[in-house]
Amino acid sequence: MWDRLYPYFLWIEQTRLGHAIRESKWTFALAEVFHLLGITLFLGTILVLALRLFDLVLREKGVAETARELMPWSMSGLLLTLVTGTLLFTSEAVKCWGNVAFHYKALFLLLALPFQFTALRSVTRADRQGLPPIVRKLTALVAVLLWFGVAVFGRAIFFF
Amino acid sequence: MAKPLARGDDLTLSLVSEALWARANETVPDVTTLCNVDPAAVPARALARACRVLKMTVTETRGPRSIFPVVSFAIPGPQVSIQGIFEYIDATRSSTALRESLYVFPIVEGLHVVSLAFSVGLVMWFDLRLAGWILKDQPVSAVFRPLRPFVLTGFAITLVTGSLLFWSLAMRCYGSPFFWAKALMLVLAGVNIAVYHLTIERRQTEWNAARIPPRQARIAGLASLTLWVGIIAAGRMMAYFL
Repeated sequence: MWDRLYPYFLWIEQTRLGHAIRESKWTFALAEVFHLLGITLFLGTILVLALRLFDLVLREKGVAETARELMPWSMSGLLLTLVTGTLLFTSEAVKCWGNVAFHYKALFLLLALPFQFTALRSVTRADRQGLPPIVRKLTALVAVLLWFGVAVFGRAIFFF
Repeated sequence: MAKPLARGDDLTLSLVSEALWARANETVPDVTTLCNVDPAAVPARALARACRVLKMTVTETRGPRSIFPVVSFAIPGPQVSIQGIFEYIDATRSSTALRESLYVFPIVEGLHVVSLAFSVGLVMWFDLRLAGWILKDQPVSAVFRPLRPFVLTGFAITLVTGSLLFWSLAMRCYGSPFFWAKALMLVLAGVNIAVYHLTIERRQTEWNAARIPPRQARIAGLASLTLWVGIIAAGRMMAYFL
């Protein structure tokens, strides 16, 4: 499958945007900085939400309420991470194409994103209907594992 | 770093001239130069005389003794420079081993980055509550107390892995302006925490439930938030330019 995708990766890298980022040392470095800040913000929110679903923090506040209050922060973090991540990817798409760690990162990302907006979202919204705790905890755990998988394999790209 | 002496070198002459040259040129003002000497190649009397002339002492013996024992000398000087300390760290065996390891270094670095989500990613909620930006209907203590064990674990991992990374790359850190910016901000973050604990937190019962905490607490929260953003940014830049 990856062989067939090669022309697309090559095309992305050769776009004007990819070229511009690659040529400018500071743009790449700054994109890395904001990528990491976005990750910290987003993963931090996911962790708090997971701890809430495990009934370990903010027990006085409802899950749905907590989730609603965290939403602007988690979505800004995710947006920042996705935008800067796309910029970084554009500048070295071909390197990513041949990078095992990137393959796993892409896989985890393709699982984590839908999971975030289907399973996790419905569990946090179904507060009052009283889902069994095991469902809430399992959903939280899977979300955390998926997102941390994305982060770990993302960091690993550099070492392969 | 002094060059290692070769077998048959005149130890006395070589060490004396090297130390005198360094002192005269003030290139190594504290003369903490370490010399690696193969004792088997040096007559014991010459060694003793060199030690006496230079007021130096044998500080360490290391290496596989049976094959090629190595004696390190430290020539004591009037002061210890920061660069000297960094150079010393950089030259230790543990530093080199970590720097060159195939798996340990990436794992330590990966842990350092991922643990950020537990340390900064969690302490940020407490900072935001202190600033009066979020979870205003919850008492400050209700936000912080349950988070504390996770935050402390996160910071412990970040700190240990960060120290290891510094240990393995001491000289590259020394030459990086981002490292010094990061170090400064870390100190400021520590001072901020200490000031908060020693002053406004003492009266926390008075404002624990307040939707907007008093000004000093808000400033402490925002300062912490700003400093952590700066520390992450400087750390990432440092890694990029190392």
